[in-house]
Amino acid sequence: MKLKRFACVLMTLTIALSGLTTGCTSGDKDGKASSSITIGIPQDLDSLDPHKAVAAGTKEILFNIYEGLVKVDSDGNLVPAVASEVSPSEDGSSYTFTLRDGVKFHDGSAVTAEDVKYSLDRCAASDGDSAPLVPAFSNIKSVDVKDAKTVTVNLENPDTEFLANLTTAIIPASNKEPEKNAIGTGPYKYVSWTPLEQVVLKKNEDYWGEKAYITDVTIKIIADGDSIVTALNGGSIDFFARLSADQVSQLSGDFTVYEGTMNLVQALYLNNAEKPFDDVRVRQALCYATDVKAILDMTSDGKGTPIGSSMFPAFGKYYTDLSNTYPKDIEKAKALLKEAGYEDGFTFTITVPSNYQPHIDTALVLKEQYKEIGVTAEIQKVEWATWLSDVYTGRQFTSTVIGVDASTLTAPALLSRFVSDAGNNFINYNNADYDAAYARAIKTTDDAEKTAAYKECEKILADTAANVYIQDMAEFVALNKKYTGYTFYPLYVQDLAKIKPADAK
Amino acid sequence: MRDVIRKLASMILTLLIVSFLVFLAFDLIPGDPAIAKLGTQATPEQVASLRAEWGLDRPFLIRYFDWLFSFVRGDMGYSYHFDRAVTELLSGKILITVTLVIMAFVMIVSVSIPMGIFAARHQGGALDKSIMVSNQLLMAIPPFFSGILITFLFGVGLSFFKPGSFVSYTQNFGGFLFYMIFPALAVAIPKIAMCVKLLRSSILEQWPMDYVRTAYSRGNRTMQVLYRHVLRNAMIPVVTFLGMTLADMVAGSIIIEKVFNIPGIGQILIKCIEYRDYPTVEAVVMLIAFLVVFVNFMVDIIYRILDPRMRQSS
Repeated sequence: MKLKRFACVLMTLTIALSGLTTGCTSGDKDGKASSSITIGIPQDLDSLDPHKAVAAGTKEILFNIYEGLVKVDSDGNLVPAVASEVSPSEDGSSYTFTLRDGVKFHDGSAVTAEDVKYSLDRCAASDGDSAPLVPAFSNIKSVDVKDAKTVTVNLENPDTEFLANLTTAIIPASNKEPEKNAIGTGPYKYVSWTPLEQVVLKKNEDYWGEKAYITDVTIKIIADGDSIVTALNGGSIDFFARLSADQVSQLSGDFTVYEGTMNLVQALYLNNAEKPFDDVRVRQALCYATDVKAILDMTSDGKGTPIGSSMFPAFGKYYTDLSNTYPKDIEKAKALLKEAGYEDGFTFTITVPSNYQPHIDTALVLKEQYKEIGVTAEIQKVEWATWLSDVYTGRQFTSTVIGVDASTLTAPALLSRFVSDAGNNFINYNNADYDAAYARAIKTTDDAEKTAAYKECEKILADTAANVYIQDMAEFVALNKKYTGYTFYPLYVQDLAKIKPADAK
Repeated sequence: MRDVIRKLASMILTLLIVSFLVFLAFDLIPGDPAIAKLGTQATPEQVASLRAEWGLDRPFLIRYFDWLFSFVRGDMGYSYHFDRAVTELLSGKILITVTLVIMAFVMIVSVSIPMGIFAARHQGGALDKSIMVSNQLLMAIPPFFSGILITFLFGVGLSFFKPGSFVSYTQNFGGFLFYMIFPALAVAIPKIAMCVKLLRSSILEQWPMDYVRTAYSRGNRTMQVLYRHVLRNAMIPVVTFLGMTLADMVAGSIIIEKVFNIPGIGQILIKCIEYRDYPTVEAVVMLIAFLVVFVNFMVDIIYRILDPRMRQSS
């Protein structure tokens, strides 16, 4: 009798223990893959608070947890999310939103008009004297709650493109510590974050839209670039975005490699206020001396999209291909230099952030190419924080290779910075025609006229050789063949909800 | 007793100087925490408002003393980069680095002391010679290189562990300890080699001394002479070395953590310097400085236990 009871206890223990072990190892090699995935990201989150997080690498993860009144779909269109309906006023001075029925926060409470007002007011910093968390929100005059389901956003100055800024996350007013406890409405719920180690997400079963396929997502932070490929091949991660061509070539056969673009404008940005780049002829000479195809061949196996202005193809109707403005022509480049008084060439510095190898590689190729026209480029690598404060904010530089990305899919996200007095005009671009064309684009509410004006801006940038435009870099994404469904977005976003196990239909 | 107080006072002074220097360094190097945090999309107004929120707009000395008083009261401040309290951030990481250091230290002590004694006792023998030769070789290997070799051999070659896939102790403590064996080994190998060499020569130095002859003449056997008399004296330089090693490993963990992708305080330190997150950097540096100073203090105390003459003289 006693023995039997003992056996019984033993049995229970064994079952309990085995339950524990499978709990720990789910997601490993066999079978269980369908319910979990481990993805790798190169840098840690900088905050869980969607309004305070600024790093692109953080936002692309938070995209899965939070949603705005509207969100971007994979074609770059703005689609209703927390709101089910948007009605902008004719002149673009106010936007009225009808909240979607049945949208719940991850804590189970329903999204109310008050939560929407709280979130937008928080980002506009309308209650205090601090700067708005979302710069564009300085244009918000008021957020009015019409009734339980209706909210109106009134603007100071009419802006027909303002909707793109309303992808700003809606968070519950009741959550006093959004930096510790991430509560949103997205397809994934936040579970935990261990700095420098991992972030854990779980499927939101109550999601209003198309639910995620995979239940458990573990996001591992792999800061060391050299260990990414080992981690992929070794099976400790199943997914990694933004791999280089070199890393892709080292992958084992277990991966599907998706090829897309990074959606940024990589260029040799020139300080237009500094000698010798204050002379348009010198800037054009550099453009003629640059062989973009050779850069692509040398740095990324020929992958990447050459571009000729501050606009990349994902912008659709706003994009015009200007990449042939300056075909390689050494004689012309030399003639232009001679005209500008630099017959014997000159020496200049290219400042590059040391943590972005693709930009360093590009700078190295440029240095070689400029030797042909007698121009010597010296490459100076600086830390990212130094780059931000000295080059970007302080404008203390001659030239720099960097990729400029867009925060929203509206043309101003890329073009506003070249207006003469723009606060982020780090290249000190100064062109009256440009300013006029840009002002015209902002002012008009007619879409065709707007698009034409933006295109004119792009053309001016190309013609005046504001920068040596290079490419929209190629992006490679590796996904273990156990999964499928990876979707590119025209913005910096990783949509985990679309990834599904390969065996599911 | 007075001696202990004097030592404590110098410990505190050292820490104060270190903290000030770190603060000063952050003021001198280019880069601004608010700009680093907000990145390329920031407007000047946002930067100004964040600087005000963090109190960066105040004069240097006021910021320093404000930080110092909070620190003394146990408030390490707020991590800019990780958006959470520094104490909360570090508490999870210290265990990782401490485990690494302790594991390496146990390896060093448990391997090098018996091996050193063995080599000394069989001085000139074939084994002693081969130990000495391989020592010479291993001593020259920097930990990051032994780390790469170990990753290659045990990780890639023998598949004992998955390179770069750190196991969190909160998920699987056994797996965590197992993973840590390899970085600990990488740190320990060169130190073991040095320690063996030191102990061997230290024992051999003691052997011709008069007290050894006296000990023999009183009827002690070799083993008794060795363990009761010689080793006690021979250990003094070894203890100093081990103390330095311990401090050195805490500071040196930065490199090995990078090689093995271990999210310990070393990695935090690197990240936070990159992002000019100086409250966190200060806290980590103070922690390392404290350990170094504390270990030195402990070494002094162990001297006194090992060698009664030290107690007399002071």
